[in-house]
Amino acid sequence: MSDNEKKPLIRPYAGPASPSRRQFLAAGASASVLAASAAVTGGMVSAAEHSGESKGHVIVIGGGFAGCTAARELGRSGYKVTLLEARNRLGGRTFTSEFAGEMVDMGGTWIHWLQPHVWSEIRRYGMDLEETVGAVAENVIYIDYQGKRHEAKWSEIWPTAEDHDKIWRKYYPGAYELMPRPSMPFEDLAWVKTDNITMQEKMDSSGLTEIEKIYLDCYHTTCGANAMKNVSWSFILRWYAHAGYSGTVINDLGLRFKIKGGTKALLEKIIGDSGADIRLSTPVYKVMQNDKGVEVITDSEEIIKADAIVCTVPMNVLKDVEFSPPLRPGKVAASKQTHAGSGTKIHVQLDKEYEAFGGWAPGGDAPINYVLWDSVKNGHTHLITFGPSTDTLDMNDTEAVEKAIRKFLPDATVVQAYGYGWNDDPYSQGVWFAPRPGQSYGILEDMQASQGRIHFASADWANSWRGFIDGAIEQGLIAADKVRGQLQS
Amino acid sequence: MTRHIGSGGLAFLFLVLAVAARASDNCDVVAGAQATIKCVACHSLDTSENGVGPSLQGVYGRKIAAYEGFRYSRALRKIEGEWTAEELDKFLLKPQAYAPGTRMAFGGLQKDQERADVICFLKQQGG
Repeated sequence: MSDNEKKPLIRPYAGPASPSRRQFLAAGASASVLAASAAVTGGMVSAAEHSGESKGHVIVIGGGFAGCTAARELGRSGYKVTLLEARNRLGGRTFTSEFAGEMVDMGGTWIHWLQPHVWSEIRRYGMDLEETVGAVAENVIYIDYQGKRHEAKWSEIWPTAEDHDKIWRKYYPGAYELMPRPSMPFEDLAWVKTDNITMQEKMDSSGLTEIEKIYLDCYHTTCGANAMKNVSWSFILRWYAHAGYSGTVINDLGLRFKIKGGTKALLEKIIGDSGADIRLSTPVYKVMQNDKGVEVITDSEEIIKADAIVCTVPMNVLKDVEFSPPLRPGKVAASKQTHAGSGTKIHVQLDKEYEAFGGWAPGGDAPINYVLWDSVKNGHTHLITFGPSTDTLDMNDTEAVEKAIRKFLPDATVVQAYGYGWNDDPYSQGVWFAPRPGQSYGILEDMQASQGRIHFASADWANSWRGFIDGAIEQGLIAADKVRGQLQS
Repeated sequence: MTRHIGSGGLAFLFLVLAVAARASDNCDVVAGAQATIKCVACHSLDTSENGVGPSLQGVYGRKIAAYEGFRYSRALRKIEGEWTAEELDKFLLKPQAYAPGTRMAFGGLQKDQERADVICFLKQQGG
């Protein structure tokens, strides 16, 4: 072992001292372009008129990170862009809004410099980062497979980064050989044979100790947003490969660094550069095309014509939009099958200040798998929790949330708790993408395929960081490039 | 168990308490106010402004899917009538069952008493 491998982990924010956290937005979300005010509901909130000749008209369906990125790219390339968003806000599966008097992210949150597309945007717009301390806290509270509560220190479980990395190598043996090019899913196809293995099957055969299993179960059930038996092992294999085959880095990647001001702060920069006409509360129910152009029909029967479409409707929702000619069968079948991502994310405020900690609990039947200590302020603690399903915890039942929190903090009193109902939202019908066995590879080509003048962009079928903000931006860039190529030729 | 309302809702709560004597039977306006904290990510409770969802100020007794300036889903537009206690109770139990396709991303309040408290609070607020 080299000296480097023995170097201990540095945890600058471990222990009771919390990082300062500025309250960045006092007003509600309605002050910005990301949610419409009464005066502009359903209308154009950013109706920058195009001057002079445009190169063509492009409709972007959906205003999440994929759609806003595509809108910006095309707007800056001289196209007239009309962005149609079904909800009365932009953001898609990201949503910065109010909880306990602060602006927090209800959906996608964390980013990292190993995610090239989002990191490029962070640098481009000079965004600052904040940290979710619980992801790397020295204090650990974990629940074992018998339901018993334990307190521990991260540095005693894994004294060095190398010690931590070793358990990930046990769970992902031969990862480099299986997936040497994680950003290129159609090359070096050795990984494809892992697509039909579930996370649970791999756990059962991996020779991990109990604490290793508890931690990896907690991490994978959280990140798979479902019980491990329902998610392909290849999913987080790709994250792990992107993280340079390091467990320490992968832990930082998923749940640690977030954008100051929330995801909304970055999205406002991106869409602000688009010059697009943005129509909120404008669901599209039919999309038609012929060799001359495209038409969409909104739910108020308005017909909008254009030269091309970037369709960012999520995988689980695509089946609800009528296409003529129809979607290719593979897209429809995947949409009907749905992906596995359907877990819970809940913001919780406690009635007193607790020291920073990370809470781990295993199992697809647990109400909460992961508790992330976020901050303390004015005598309260803010936690973020994840669970595998709304069946194991009713997010809207505050007493049930408190009961679940008390497994970790027996004396906790919950002041308030809120989790956005992504599974009940007709425009997401789930959380971030997580592949059922066979979906990592089996549906990717179908989902990515353009159909004539319609180009499909979503983090749900990104090449690199599938299910992440990074993947959405990647897809927005690719779709915009396809449109440019098509309309120029 | 003691629960507290967030500081942002305190002034509002005082207003509610001032008129709590007029509350309906078998419901707790203060508990209702506490429960509506779940609504504020998307709705304004104490202003007429629409957010991600329509303003809830005066929603009790209002015609369904008719608040000025908000574009409702087809699902909700199809429903006739007013937001009476009975209709609100059915909607809040499971919004997607009451109006399949509603844009309200909320799984519902399963406890009968909590729904009754929320409805009490909304009724007070419109008064």
